[in-house]
Amino acid sequence: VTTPRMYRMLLRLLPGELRRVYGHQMASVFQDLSEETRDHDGWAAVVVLWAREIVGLLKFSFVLIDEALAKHFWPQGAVGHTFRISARSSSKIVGVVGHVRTQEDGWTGPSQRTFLSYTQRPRLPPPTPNVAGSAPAVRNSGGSYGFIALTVRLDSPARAAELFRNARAIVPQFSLKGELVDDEYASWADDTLLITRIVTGFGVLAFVVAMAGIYGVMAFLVAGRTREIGIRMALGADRRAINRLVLGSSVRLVLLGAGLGVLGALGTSRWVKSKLFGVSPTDPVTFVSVVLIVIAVSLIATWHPASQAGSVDPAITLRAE
Amino acid sequence: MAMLISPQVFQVLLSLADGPQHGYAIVRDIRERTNDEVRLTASTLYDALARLVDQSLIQELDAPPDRADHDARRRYYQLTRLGRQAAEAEAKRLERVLEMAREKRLLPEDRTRGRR
Repeated sequence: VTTPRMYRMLLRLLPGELRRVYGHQMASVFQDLSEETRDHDGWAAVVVLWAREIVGLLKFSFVLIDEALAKHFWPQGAVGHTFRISARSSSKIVGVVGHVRTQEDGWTGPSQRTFLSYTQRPRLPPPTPNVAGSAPAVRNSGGSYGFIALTVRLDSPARAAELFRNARAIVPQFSLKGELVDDEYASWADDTLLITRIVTGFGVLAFVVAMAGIYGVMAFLVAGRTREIGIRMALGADRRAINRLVLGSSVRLVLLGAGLGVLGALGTSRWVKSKLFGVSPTDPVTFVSVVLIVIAVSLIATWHPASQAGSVDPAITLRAE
Repeated sequence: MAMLISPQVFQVLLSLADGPQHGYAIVRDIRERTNDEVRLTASTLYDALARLVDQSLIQELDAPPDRADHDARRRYYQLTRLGRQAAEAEAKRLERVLEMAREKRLLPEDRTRGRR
């Protein structure tokens, strides 16, 4: 007698849309089922039926999503919303988990993920015991979800063997495979690390070439102004004033170049956004420190031409040409 | 085939192959055919039905077919053309899998082969 009311309470576990469309029919089917079960198999069987129904409702369509997906569709908060995963029935979002960056996060931005309980997947046939007894366990291929992944924290990698022995004793029908998370990450990040090193290498090379270029340009400019410098010194300018003159013209050029460079970097920063982690593409600390380093390096590169200019003998330079 | 048909969903399609059925009849039919091996409850049945409706493999009938055991509460479902094709494709796939199993001597020789 209380069946329909209790069942309707249970149906609250379902995503709203499904409850609206199928709730009545489900209640009717469940009532028929429980009456039949009671008449044929007794009350104990009805209790089992209820238990199975509750499990069935619980695993119906709940889903965890990650931050990337939540931010994309429900910036105001995702929990409680329902949505469809492909053409399947609606799923209710019951939680949001952090986004884990992997190789899938490409140039297009972070990949968005959903997490389903493995019990929601098409049920795999139960493992049948080996007839021969000694045959190796057959990997279940009843679907594309024939595996379960577990992450275990160990005191030391040496204990992995012990863990495996125990796991094998518990589930002999499973084929077990284990890897250290550190190794797994290392192999995932292999390509990225190589590319990063190559890019860094080119960056350093570009810096060295730039230094040589600044040195060359400043030496050339100073050589071109030898006469002017000679005249200035003849008119009473001391070495320090000449140094300042050369360094000043160098700094003006470098600041102009650094300004253009910063604008260019800001303009192209969005292309590298997806490749960065934990740092904004317009990170002020990075920008300021790079500009300071460039200025320092160019000053060092200009130092020698400047001090050369200051050591010119005005008598010689004026006689030149 | 891109669509994954689970054993339970396939059983539902099989139950509808002879004609429209209502939910409770589908559960009973599956249980009888599989000797109690596959027992659906209301939740697992409607999980499958909702998915099949979403995929246009089955559809709900507007009016119940004229039958002696007519009950106003009951809603009837029938295979769509796409649903029948999907069921046939899955059956053929299973047949090919069985054929492979026979070739590997995991199953006794095909008893129907002589008659073919």
